Amino acid sequence: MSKQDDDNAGPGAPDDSGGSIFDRAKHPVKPSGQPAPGSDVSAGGPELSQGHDDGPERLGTPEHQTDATRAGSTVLLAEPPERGVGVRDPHAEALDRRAERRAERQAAFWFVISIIGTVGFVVTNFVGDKHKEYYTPALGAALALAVGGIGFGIIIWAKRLMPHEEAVQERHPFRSADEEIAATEETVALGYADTGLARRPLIRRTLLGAGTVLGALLVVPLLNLTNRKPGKQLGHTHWVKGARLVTGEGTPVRLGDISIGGIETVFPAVPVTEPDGRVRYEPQLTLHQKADSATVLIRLGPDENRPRPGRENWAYDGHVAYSKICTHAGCPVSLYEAQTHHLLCPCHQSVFDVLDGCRAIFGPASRSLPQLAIDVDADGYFIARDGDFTEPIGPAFWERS
Amino acid sequence: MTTVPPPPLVKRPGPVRALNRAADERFGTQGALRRNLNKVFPDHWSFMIGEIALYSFVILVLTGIYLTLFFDPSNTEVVYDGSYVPLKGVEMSRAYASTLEISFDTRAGLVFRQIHHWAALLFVASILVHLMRVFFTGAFRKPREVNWLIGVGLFVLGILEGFAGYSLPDDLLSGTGLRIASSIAQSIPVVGTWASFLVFNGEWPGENFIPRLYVVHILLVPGILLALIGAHLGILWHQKHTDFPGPGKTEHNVVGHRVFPVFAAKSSGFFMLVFAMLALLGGLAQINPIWAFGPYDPANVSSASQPDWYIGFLDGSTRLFPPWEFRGLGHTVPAVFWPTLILPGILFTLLAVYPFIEAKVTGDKESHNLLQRPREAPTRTGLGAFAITFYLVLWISGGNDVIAKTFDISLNAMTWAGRVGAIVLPPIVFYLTRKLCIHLQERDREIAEHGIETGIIQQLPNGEFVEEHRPKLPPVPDHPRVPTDRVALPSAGDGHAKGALVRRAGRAVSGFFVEEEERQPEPTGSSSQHPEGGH
Repeated sequence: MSKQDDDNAGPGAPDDSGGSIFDRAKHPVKPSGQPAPGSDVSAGGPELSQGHDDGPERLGTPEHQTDATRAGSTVLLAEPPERGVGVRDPHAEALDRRAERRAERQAAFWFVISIIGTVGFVVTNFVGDKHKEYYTPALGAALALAVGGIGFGIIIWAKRLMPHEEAVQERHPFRSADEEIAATEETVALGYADTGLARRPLIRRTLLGAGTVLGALLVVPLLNLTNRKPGKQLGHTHWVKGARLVTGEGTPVRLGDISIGGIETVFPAVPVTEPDGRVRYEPQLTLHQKADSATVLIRLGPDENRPRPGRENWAYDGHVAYSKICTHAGCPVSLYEAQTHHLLCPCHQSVFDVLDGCRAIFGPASRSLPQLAIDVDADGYFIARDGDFTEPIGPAFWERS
Repeated sequence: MTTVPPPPLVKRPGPVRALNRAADERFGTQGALRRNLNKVFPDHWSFMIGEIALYSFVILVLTGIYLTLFFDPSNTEVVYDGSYVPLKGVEMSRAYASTLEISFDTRAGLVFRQIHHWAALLFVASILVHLMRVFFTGAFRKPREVNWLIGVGLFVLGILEGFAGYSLPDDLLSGTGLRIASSIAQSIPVVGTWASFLVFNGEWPGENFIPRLYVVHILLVPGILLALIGAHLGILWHQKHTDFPGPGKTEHNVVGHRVFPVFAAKSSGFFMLVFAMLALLGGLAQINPIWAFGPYDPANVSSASQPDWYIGFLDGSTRLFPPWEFRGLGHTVPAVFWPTLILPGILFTLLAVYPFIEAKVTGDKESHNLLQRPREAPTRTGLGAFAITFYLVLWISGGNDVIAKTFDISLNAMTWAGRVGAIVLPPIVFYLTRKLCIHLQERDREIAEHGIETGIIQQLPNGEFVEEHRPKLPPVPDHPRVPTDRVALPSAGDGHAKGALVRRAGRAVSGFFVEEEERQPEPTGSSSQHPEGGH
């Protein structure tokens, strides 16, 4: 087959001679746009006016074989230009029985590998110890062999043993014939006329109205997604007046627990008066409570703090407390550089200056971290002096002024 | 191989033929079956990128089904008592605990979890590369604009699906991502607070949010993805694949391998190889080790927390965008609104409408089936390079803290470099790319006119030295060309009924209602079995 086609390719070709891929892109084949049938579509060699044998003296090095010259170079110099170029040589498997057998064996080898991989997967899965380190890598490798073996086998089979030929299929324009379009449009028009919608505005309008109202009904399931109206919820946290500052483990923080330059994440422990009159402090450590009440307690050096006007007594002995929830996108502001007194949010790199009321000094955050006024109670524990933050914590929202 | 006339009907059919005939008697399959088996697909390595996306999706569905059997999408707090010792006794959600169980106590759980995650990364990556292939070769042009739109939809949904997926385990990293997502929802003007409350069922972290996310991840988005992928492939099948110009290739034909057997064999082999690659990655390359992050805690975050790569550009835009918060009249439009909703909204809208913009600007109303090389459309290629540069600056900035730490650069310098780079670099790259394309075109024209330099110097009789140029040879088809149909029916031409699918369908329907003698003669004898008229 291939040998024959190869020979056929020559004579049919010379009328189709493009200069470069650029020309061919513009005029891929004959201007008629019709593909030549069968092997005739293969490109032919150009007419070359080469008189190299009786031409001037030739200097220089023999040409280098490149992709562009490979097909024609040696042939071209040795043979008449009309010979042209044919399709790529058929693979060895098509001509040589031994090569064919070799390809067959290779494909079969990979199919056997796949069987081994599958068996390996099953054995590892059931016999292997899933707590051992080899378990997951062995399963992955075995599965890769199981599916990859079939993949390699099929591809070797397809590429080396199936016939190499390119089918030419015609495309058909999508546009229908004029009369067909007209007939379809008329069919729809007649059908629409039958409905009488154009003549009966009452039906048309009420149906349109009913449809609109029904569409609006979609809002109902959407609103049913929650029973919790936002209200003023975003403006409040779980801090109350007199709440102790406790760590994530519920341990209350005393004056002196934090050294200068130190930082502690604290949460409210709200005072509950027992029936016997004693006051118990209940740590607020659920996810919801932590999500809005997380606060950082930082101890600055003496006289380092530069309190905002009106907040001169919100700090206590160099201790300041700020909301830990970033005012940008709500991540916990958890990196503290004790040297520069900067708090850094690891999500989007907003930087807050602790000395200057946690003002946002770099990055995408635009508001300062809200400050919590603190004090120390008679037992030496830190408490929220005035209750909640004076402004909403965390990321901003439309209703926030 | 040439077309042969149809052989006589096999008298004693084997089981396969018997099944085929049984189906045909009920559905009339033979014409369509033959047409589709003979359908021709062109060959080019770049056409396989979209296939990778398709195969990743299949693997995502397969591994995802396995994971749903073990994952418990529940916010209920439990105390962990599994085999991962460092977390024993820690309070966590059922979602996180069951993900730990999948990872440590389920047979083949971790390997399928990791294959699932790698497949998700590959899915979005191959969609993006496929999108670039389609863009730079002009494959989106008429008549394929609708498939471009579907493709953009698949890209956006793929990103959403991936985000929903890695947010499900309720570990510290995914919880942080969701916290940011809720802040973004909250930032929408007017309805933001309500939107956030509706989605999360209350103030962050909401009430029973994971079951909702689960439904989105395993039902809602995959369902839409599946439908869109079906439409994408159906349109591709119907419109036939584009191809690069080449010997014998025209706007009016497709040259390549038939579906059966070569294309089908190569494609299924390729699917297996994609699966094998993902299996290797899932087995050997650790991904998303949620046990190392710990359960979600709103007061904690790990430094250098990075989302999956496809969210990176949004992370970057969020980091780079200046703190522009608009306040007034008692209301706020938060800074986070612009880089996370407005910017991607603009980007994806521009992406979606690009084919229509280009057609409008160039006045090109023709249908195109042959692709262009990027150099043949310098402005389009320049715009593509512009977009890629902008995307890359954002994407790199998404990890600017990691880069700053690794290379010991100031983080502020990195941020400013990103801000300036995002504005300055894309136009420069646009200009350079466009110029490069034009120069490449000129070189092509040069070669077309004067041929390739051979390096052979000739001395003319008058003593002048000239270099010999040889015309560039036209490219050669790789393989012998054959007609589409292996077996030709005497009257059916190439097996295609003339006209579009709609017309054929229309005739099939109308043929049902007209008298038998009015109908066009059928190529085979099977028409005599139709009922006489259909009234």
